[in-house]
Amino acid sequence: MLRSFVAVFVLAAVGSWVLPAAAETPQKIFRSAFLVAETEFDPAKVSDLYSNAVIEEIIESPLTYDMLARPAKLKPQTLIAMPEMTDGGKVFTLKLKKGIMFADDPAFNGSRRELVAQDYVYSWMRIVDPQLRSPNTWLFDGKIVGLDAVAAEAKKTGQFNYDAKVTGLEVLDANTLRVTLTKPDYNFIYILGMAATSAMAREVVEKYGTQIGAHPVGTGAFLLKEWRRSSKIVLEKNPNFREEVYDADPGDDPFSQKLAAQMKGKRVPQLDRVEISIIEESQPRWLAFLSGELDTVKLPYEFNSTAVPGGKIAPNLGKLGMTATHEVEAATTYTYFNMKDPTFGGYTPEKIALRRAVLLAYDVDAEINIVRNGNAIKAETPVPPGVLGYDPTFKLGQNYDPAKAKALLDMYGYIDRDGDGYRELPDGSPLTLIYATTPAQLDKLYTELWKKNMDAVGIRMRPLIEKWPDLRKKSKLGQLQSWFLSWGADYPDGENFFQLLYGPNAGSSNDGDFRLPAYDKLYEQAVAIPASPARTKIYQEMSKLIAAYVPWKLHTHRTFDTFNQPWVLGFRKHQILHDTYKYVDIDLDLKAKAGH
Amino acid sequence: MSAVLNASHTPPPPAAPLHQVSPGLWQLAWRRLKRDKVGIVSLVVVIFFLLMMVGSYTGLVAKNWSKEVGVSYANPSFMAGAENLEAVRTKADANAPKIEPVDLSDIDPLAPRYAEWAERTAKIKTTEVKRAESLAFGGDKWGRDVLQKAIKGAETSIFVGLFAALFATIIGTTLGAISGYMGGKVGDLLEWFYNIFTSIPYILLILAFAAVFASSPQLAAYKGVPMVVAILAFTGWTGIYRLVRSEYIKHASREYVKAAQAIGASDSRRMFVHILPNVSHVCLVQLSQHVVQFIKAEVILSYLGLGVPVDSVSWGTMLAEAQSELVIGKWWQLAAAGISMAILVTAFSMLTDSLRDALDPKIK
Repeated sequence: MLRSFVAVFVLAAVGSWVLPAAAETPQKIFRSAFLVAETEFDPAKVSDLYSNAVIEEIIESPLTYDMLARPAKLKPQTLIAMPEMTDGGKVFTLKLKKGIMFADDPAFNGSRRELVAQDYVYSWMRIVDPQLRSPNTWLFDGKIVGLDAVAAEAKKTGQFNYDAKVTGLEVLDANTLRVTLTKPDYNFIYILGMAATSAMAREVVEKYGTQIGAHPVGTGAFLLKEWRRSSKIVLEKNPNFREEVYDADPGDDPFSQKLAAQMKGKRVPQLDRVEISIIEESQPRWLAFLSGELDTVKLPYEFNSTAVPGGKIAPNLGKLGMTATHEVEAATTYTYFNMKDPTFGGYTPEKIALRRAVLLAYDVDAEINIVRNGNAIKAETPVPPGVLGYDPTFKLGQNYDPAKAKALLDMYGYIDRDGDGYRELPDGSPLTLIYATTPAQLDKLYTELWKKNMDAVGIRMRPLIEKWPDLRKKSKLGQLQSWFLSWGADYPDGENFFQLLYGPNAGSSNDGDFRLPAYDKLYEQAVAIPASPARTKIYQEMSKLIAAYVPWKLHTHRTFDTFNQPWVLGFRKHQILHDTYKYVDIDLDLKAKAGH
Repeated sequence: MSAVLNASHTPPPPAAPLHQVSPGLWQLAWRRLKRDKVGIVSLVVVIFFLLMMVGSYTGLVAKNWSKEVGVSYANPSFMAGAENLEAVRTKADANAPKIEPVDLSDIDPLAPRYAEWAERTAKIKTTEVKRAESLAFGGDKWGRDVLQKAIKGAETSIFVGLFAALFATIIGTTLGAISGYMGGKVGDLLEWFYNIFTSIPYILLILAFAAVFASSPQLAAYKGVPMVVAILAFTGWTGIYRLVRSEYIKHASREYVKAAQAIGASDSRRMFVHILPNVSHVCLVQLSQHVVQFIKAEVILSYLGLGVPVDSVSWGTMLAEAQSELVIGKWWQLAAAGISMAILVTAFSMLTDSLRDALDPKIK
């Protein structure tokens, strides 16, 4: 009796003390929506966009990107300076800032835990641990001296030895890490900017075991407060976060300059809380934004002509003070052909001609304007704008031209022999393009377009309709004839796109099993030299080979419009980073004035 | 047959003159139907739709439905001047500056035949179709005439709805008749069979059948419309079965059936010649309801990629497309498919109502 009385009394006292304080300074809450559900928050276990977006806020990789610089520029995150590169791009020395603290967690037994170099070593070992079956293994596979041996041993013993000394990952002192690569790789530095290379504390991972994906503990600006799977994610400001002041290079972009002015001199993060809802359907997501329940939204493309008619924000939305920014995604969509396919694969002139004809017969402009509602630009090379190696003046001229396609097919003996309106292979056997696709309504539009375009030149097309994960499985096993895919930049260098066709990558990222010695030679030349006009030239030579041999039909680089509420400050979708809540602020006065 | 039917209502005196010719069941029904104005109008509408279906099947109408005759989302002719933002974008794009492409000939394996290629290309004429700004009832995303699409879509939808309902009714009625009339072990067996089907949620059942059909190499040849008909018929008979069964249980012990038994009519004759006409109104109403239901089910199947092939059109695929069009204010595809469907479905229901009235021997 007495006990419960005391409890009530204490609660009342606490309540009266907390409430007025909260009323004085309302919390800065940023509300955003994901289109697709997250999976979990273990950097070693995920490779999907949305989970990475959350991980990035909680756990920190050694490097990050400048919020505003275009093209994207790396900058130190937990390091004092950019890694020191020696031995011609083979040795990288990372010096950590002192005094970076992890967020509090029961695993630390009440003491404060500082980030040390060993945390990175441990976290990267997890990526190559065969038991974890990480989708990010390719980041380190074969790259670091001695790491593969530890992984190979773990495969034999079934137990990864996290205490093993790896020559290539040398801890010089608590705050210094020296990474030695097996061969020079100037792009290794970009890997240090990916969410997958973030530092976790070993005691936390060991405490939560298989549940670690639900307990991300890191040194980042936010911590995971609440998580309802596939429904809601709540982040809160990490009280242990180090002192950091907003710093970004806006360049000469007027919009970036405005954002820089809004955030200048502010301590990051400004937000107290981030609430992410998962809203898969585009209409409710857009309506939630319009009614002020979301602070930002990626405009669902269906609403293009009503929200941004003619590329400008609609007057009724502009009047409310909302802002819209149009951006090109650092991604490329393409259709690959399986080089092992008996009908479409191969390197002989007949097979090349057949693929070229398909390339010429497909109307990318119709795809952009009608299927994508104008939300894309045509891809000329695999490199999207804003990524090193992109050149707007470089055109391959592989445009829609059904007459040219027909002429090419006639010329190489792909003619209609049985009078059914469809062509056969030169030897008279049937010619069918099997188009792999999913049952989604949007994909049906693509299928319609393909069917229409292929019919127009007399190539029979049959759709193969299956769920995306099933198709992916088949694609990885080389069982698809061709498939339509999209690749988003992991880092802002064209190499990340060209590696998709590198022969030795067949079976991992090179789904079409394209192996062309001339291409592989150029690729190897390109990765051995730092970013330069000479390397861009090599990239263009590789693009020419892609246009001539057609392992891919290049489609588009997608574009999108981000809408922000008038009270959102500093927010712009970064090309490589995900949602950058760290650099966002809310103007509470403006928000109150708008009645929200 | 007719004598027996009359017998069921006003038992004739044993000494009725045998040569008296009374009008038959169907003749009577037709007389009653003719008096029903709503029924006749509905019949005309349904016949009109059926003619349209035949016409489109034989290519008399809507032959060129897949031709892209208008601009993207061309306006209907009665609102020809209205702003069409979608088409404007397509045009603006055509004026983009052109940059000279690089020369591939140094690495291109096809380079030796460039000249021949260019020569052949020049010979192939490509005619640019002048696209209309407005079409009779508007255009779809690709600029196809929505009205023609609706007619072509009617062909698929009515065919699927009608035939699937017909087969489902035949299955349901036959099994229901056997189960209701025979009862006992046979009845139990069929009841169990029925329970298996109804214990699985309807949509899942459809999907299971669809998966079986799609994965079987023997049946893959019938992919498309015949497969949809089969799937719907095999999954949709259960409700009909149950109703017909209960009717048969009721009728099996009626006097006229006993009388038929007395004069030596066989089981099957009693089931299908004596009882069936008396429960046919149930079957007909079920038939009409299932036509409607199956037209809708075809939508789901097509939506999931198990229905009609991608290069054909049905009301279902039109409605699925309309989903995303409506939010940008292009309502005509929804209207075209929706109105045609509403008219047919209403006419069909009213016709079956009238048919039931006309056929039900209890209603004079």
